[in-house]
Amino acid sequence: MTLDQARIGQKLIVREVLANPCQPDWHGWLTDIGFVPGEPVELLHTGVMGKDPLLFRIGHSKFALRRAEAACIEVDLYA
Amino acid sequence: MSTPGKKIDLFLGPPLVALVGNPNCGKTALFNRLTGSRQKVANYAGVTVERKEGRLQTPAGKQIRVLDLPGTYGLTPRSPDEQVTTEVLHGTAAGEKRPDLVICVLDATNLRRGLRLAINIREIGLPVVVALNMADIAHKRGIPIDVDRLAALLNVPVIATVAIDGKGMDALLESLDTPEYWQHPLPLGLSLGNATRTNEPGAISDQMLVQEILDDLGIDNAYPHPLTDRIDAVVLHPVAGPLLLTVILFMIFQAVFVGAEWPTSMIEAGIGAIAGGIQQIIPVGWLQSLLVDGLLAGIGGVLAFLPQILILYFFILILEESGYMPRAAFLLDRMMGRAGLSGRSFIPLLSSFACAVPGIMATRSISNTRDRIITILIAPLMTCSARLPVYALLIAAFIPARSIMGFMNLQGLVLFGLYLIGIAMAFVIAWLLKHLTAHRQTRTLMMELPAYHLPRVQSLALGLWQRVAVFVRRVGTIILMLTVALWVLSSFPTAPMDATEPAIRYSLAGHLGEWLALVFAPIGFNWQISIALIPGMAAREMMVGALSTVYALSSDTEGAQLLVPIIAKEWSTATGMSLLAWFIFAPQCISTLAAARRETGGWGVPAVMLVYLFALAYLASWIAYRIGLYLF
Repeated sequence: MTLDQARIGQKLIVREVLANPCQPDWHGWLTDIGFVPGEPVELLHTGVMGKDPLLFRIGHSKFALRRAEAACIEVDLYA
Repeated sequence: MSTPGKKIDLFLGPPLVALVGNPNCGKTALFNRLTGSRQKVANYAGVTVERKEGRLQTPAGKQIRVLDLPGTYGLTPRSPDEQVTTEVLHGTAAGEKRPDLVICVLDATNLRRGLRLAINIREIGLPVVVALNMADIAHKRGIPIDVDRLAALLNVPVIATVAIDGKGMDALLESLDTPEYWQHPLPLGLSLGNATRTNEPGAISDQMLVQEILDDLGIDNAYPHPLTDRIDAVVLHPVAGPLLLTVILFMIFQAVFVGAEWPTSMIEAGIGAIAGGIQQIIPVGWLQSLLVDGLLAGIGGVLAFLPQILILYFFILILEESGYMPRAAFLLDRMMGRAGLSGRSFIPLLSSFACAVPGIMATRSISNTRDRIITILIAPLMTCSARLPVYALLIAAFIPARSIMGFMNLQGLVLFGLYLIGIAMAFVIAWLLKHLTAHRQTRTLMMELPAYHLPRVQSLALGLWQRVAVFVRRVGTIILMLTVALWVLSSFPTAPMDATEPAIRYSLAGHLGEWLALVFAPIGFNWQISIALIPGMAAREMMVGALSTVYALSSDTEGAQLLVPIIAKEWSTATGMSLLAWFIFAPQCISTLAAARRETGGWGVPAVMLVYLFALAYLASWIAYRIGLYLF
């Protein structure tokens, strides 16, 4: 699944940042801010009614992403 | 070596050390610790990214220049700020020397991200000293870090620091006295070694190196920040969050307008006293007029803004330092998104209620160029405090102090309405611009919400001082020069001896005003208003003083009070309404245009701003005038 489908509180692990269908720069940026394979990630908050923006805990920090950005990140359930 | 045709920059003087780190890693606090108040704030060549340089002396007496580079997550730049950092580190930034050494500041509570950056900087061949910052917090949260082991793995010196209380500063300074630290870094002390890395599957990536370091140090799991999580549960709550934000904004507003009243009136009284003194000493004539109506009026115009700007910056700094600001942007992202802006446009727009100039200066934090330009364009629609004296005059003259539904005052309601119209129009314009610049690009958010910090008094004071100094230097000089220039316009040529009309009528401004009166006749402005609009170009509140002059009153506070009955009698209500509508858009503030030019590096944006605001002001005034004529 991709990160935009996450439910609040679900424990997830980043599998990879997809190169498609996302904007060319995003791969590098998302990697720079910490979305790297194996990193634990969790959805903490959403905007009103579950809409944009989404707040994630990634590693030791919190980052707000839009749904389109989160859709570039392939994740697995934390076993 | 030099590329043919490229300018060669020669850099002499002390060696240059650059501070690099992720945003929110405590880099600026470290910079303040290292350099104290010996800082110079300027811009990088050709871009409007703030450049902070300071000086320090090592224990051995070596002089060193320290550059505080903008925080960055990596060497793939996302914003003009990060672009600067990348270029300086590569030695390709115009007019900047390539640093001789980099102090890479790592947040000990978030090593993974910092290590990637440190490895990348080592890789481009710069000598690196690692400052492992917030080591105390990491320890408290149960992340003990073996500093010597980390140094061995990275093969660069690592020094544990706590920037906020100065721990580790001596060790960091001493390390700068070690000559071998200024050499190119040795290979990484890792089993994966220094193989060439790509992002191809199977290749050795940066992440694998970082992972090896973290595994070796025994750091892996996520360590949450329980207090921040508990605060966020309220601050980002779908109902409580926006409510809290509204209360905070309301309180800032109150503080800015109520808190500044007394110091502003003190400043005005002081300027008035000096003016009185000058009038006693220097005989009536052009010199007295230049000093009092030109120079002093200009200085007063700048200083009168200072209390409001100080209070506003104070709160903005607290919100920034504490970590609340990105939360506000998070909460507002959706609302701003409807108008085609991001949550980051919020701070500049908030600042613009005091004055559009600091607001426009604050747009630097917006990484998307298109968002930034739209924010600059709509900033003047936020009712700045300079318009209040004009509103106060017009509302007192034309709006009856009637109470509505027993508890609301019609005058207050009209004032509130004028603010609201400005905000609503800003959203409409932003929305229109979004659809006109129809690239339909998806804009990135990717915004970090850092852990909460208690703001530190020293850094608040330093930040406040720096921002105010920049405001006075950049804006103050513009306002001062314009005031003097407009004084020349309104004073020359002088009135003939047998003049029957106020002197300003005979001046250049007077002639200009008569010509303008033709343009403004369809929206109900008489020649007196048209003339007063000209000094109002320097700063909007000067329009009140100018009106007093035109109606041959003294241009001080008493004059303004005497003005109310005069304009109530002389102008039609429709004209009053028209002028109120005009000032919602009020395109004629030159300081704002100058700030827009400075921040965008060209005349394009200020030209668009002038034309569209003028057109809107004219249209709104015309509508208000017609409605006024019909009703009254």
